[in-house]
Amino acid sequence: MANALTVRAYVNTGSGAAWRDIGTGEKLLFQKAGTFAYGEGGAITVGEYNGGTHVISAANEDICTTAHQANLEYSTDTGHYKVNGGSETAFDSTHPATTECLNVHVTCSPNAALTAASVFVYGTGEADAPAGLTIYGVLQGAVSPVWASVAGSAAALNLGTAASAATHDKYFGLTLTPTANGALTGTLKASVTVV
Amino acid sequence: MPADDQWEARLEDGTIITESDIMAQTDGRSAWIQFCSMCRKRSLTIAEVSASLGQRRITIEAQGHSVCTGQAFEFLFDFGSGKQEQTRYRWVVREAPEHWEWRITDGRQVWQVTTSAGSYGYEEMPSPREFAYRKGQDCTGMITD
Repeated sequence: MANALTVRAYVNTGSGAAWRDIGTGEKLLFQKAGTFAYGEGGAITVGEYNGGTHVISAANEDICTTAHQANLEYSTDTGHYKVNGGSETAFDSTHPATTECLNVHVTCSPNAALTAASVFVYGTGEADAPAGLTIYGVLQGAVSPVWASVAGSAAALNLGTAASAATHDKYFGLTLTPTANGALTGTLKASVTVV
Repeated sequence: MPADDQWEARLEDGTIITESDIMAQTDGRSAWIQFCSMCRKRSLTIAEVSASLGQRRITIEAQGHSVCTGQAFEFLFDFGSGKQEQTRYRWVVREAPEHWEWRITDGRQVWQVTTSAGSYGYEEMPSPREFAYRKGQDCTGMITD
């Protein structure tokens, strides 16, 4: 087993819902609610939150032919969210479910303890927020999860620790709203330290 | 376990223990945690710890303080372009009460970084990508070669 970190999405590409590495060249698209639409057709209105989350190919085609990555959307305040445009739900230790989140997946050989793990999204440099976006993250499974800014390294979301094991999984959700028009992007950085 | 991808500890009596040695004695526990537990039980003192990755070897002396070693992984993913970058590091650290001294390698370069003291058991490797702009706050660093 290799020592490695991957970020995975829970999708169904036609062979059953399963965790799947976001592959090299694949992209993560946040769009408005509705059917998959890359580009202007899927643009989120300034001030509104993402209504769809898709893993897409390098050719900008949706890879989730059967079931998409769940869409987590900011709702009312930092203590609430919606899944796939459904009713508002309060965060708790089991909401959202792991399969509605993104997954930081770490393999260790030999076994190792996870002593630190975090994610954030940055723009020009790691200290910088992505331009034109307000972006929040939430740690799944926390006692009292809340949306909190994950823009730039100073706002990194702490994913916690774990005892020695061959694999470690941490789950987090993302939601965003544009503050400007245009094609906007950011870079996700996931980091883990093991002993 | 390849010699170019493991840690090695030297005890005060000169005994050398490697990650490969300690692995044979573990039962699902981290090799380093198992080794430290063994040292405590037998009142052995670690004098120095080294780690090798690829062409690089990093070493730090305990100088009477706790030392630790491990690995770290960084994954960068640009949502819009799909560009990904994965980096694996090995690191060693001397955990003095006032500050921690780190040596870090990705197998090609070596970094030497000083951070404010953290908590034993909650080691978080300072990212070589980040310490340049953290300099002057709680972290200073340099590329040593």
